[in-house]
Amino acid sequence: MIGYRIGGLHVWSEFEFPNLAPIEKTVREPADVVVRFCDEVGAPRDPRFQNALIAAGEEDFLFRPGPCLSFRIQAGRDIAIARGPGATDDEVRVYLTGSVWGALCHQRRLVPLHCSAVACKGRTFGFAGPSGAGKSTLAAALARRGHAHVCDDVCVFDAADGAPRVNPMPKDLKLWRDAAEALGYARGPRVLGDLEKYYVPLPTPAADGPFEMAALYLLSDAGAAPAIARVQGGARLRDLLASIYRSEWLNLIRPPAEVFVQVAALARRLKIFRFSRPRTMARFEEGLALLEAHMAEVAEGGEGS
Amino acid sequence: MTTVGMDSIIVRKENHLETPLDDEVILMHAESGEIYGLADTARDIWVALREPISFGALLDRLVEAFDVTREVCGAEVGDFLARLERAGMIEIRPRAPSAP
Repeated sequence: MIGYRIGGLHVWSEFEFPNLAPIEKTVREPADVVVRFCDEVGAPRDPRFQNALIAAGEEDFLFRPGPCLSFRIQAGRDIAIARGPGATDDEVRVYLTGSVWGALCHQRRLVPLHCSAVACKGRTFGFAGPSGAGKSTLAAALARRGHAHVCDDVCVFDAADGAPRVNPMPKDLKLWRDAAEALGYARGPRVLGDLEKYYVPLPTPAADGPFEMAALYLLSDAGAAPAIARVQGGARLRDLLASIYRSEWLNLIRPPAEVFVQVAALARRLKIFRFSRPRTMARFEEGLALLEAHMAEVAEGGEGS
Repeated sequence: MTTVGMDSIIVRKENHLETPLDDEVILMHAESGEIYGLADTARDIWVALREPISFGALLDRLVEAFDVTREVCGAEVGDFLARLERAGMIEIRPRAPSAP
């Protein structure tokens, strides 16, 4: 077993993460999560929902992303993996730090957010939106302009009250070929299953987190000039719920009433803005300049309204 | 949809969760998971429905609180109550039977 810190949790893992530094052996704290291999993961008893991909039972979730690979997540602390010869290490790693971790967070009553994030003036800013909304490209462009890259795709809110804080998930930055070229990034290996998407190496943040999230920007397309507007009231809660990673599994794993109370409390503590901008490269810089000025204002304590 | 008469009694159902956020009251239907934000007058009407109340008495309160005629108020509040009923948040009961 190798010790890691992943998304703010202490993990003992039989799977070796090639991209993560192990925790030093002097750390003796008990593990929050154990990752282990087995021949057969079995299945939840009396699942409340099941299809070819998942089965959801009480504190028990089965995820079968392919014929040679299954994950079973139980009680928010045990991840069992059954892999056949067709499943690569890269697939195991990508699912573990992605969908599997999403289900684990739901079981642990932690809120994982589908966003990329960068730091500005010592505070963290997230960019949320559905797949294809431009989260990764935006964070990568801001990193090019000197903002430390905090995470790509997913971060996890920690359970503490007070200012909302996030732990980044260790996922590699993925960019479309044209975005990587336009931003001047050297392309790494090609992403499995995505013909024109590539891993892009970026320096990892100097600190581990958690990082205080100063604001979350919801990305949307606009035909006209870029604009930023505060999101208030019911829309704030709806948008935050929609930004939860693997939100389609949330109600299979947690009671909706409990999620409502928790996310409403989070929404109350988090500034949320809608950043709408044209998706053309020609006007990309204009949107970036507006966003940077807005982030700087919020980082310095302004309302950014 | 139930027709609202002045004697109709409006009763909130217990099948929802409620929390304040900014200037709104946010409701979530416990079964459907649908979320509604009530602001301004809609929020005030929701607050007035804390206890069962007749449509007539509700209008009396609103006409007193807002600069609006009873006719306009009746039409708009009737529409709003119909939406709340469709969303499953309230029940509109015909006039309560009088005591013998």
